[in-house]
Amino acid sequence: MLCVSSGGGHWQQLMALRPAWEGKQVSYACTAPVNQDKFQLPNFFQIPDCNRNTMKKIFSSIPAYVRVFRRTRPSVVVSTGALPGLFFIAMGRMTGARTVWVESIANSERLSLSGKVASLVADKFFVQAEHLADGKRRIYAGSVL
Amino acid sequence: MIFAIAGTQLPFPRLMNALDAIAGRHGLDILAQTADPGFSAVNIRTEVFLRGAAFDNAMAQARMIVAHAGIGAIMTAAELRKPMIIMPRRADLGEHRNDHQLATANRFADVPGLTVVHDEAALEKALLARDVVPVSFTNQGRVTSLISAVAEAVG
Repeated sequence: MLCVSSGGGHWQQLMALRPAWEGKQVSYACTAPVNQDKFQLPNFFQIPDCNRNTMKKIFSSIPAYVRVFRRTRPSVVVSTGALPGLFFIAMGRMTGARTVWVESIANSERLSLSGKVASLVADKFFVQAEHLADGKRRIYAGSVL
Repeated sequence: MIFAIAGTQLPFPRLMNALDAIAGRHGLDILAQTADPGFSAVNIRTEVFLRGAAFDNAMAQARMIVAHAGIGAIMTAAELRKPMIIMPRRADLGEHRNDHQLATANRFADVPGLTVVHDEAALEKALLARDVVPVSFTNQGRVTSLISAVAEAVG
């Protein structure tokens, strides 16, 4: 299993959801360095960050994402966003892995851009605001706060 | 000590300048994580980034947290049960890519211990307030529910 997120709140939300995959063999990837003393992660990869305003960084980051994906060969990919996570969800989709996206609780009024794309690609797509659920692909099942 | 947080992505000079001015007027002891190497303060202590033990120490020592309306900061204040003031970043001022922080502030405006401010005057009032309580999110049911759903999705 591979859990991927951007730093800051995205990561903290991923950590809050950790009980959901307790006991499974999991690797983690994050765009920010993570406090290993605090989180005790068995397999951790730091990945380059990118967003919609950094076209060049997107292209230069993709090889790193592919490397991590190939190294971990996940059968399940979970991401709390943002754009880097979307690339991993897409790779998971392409290789037949189960893919789960949890839209950040920061997006209370509308989906993020990466979330909108992820809602079409991921096997399971969770929103953390009730009114963002659509009774079809976008599921509200609770929130981290 | 009051700990101010701009987050890891973008500077937030509007918040930091306001804090510097207010600290000067009232002699407040403020440590600010600015994400802004170019920012120089007169009345507050600053660090561009704080991570790991240094960040944890600042959070532990603080009697109040002031932050951009970032989920990371809010979750940390909630975890440590600190009183909190949040100032949402605005897209029209170039402070973020969109107005999701305004949405966050709206969503959590009624959480006990959490005060939303939009300008220096409101920030000053909140910083000087006496009747502060720790943030209190009564969210355990919502968290458990989401964890269960994700566990089922993961298989």
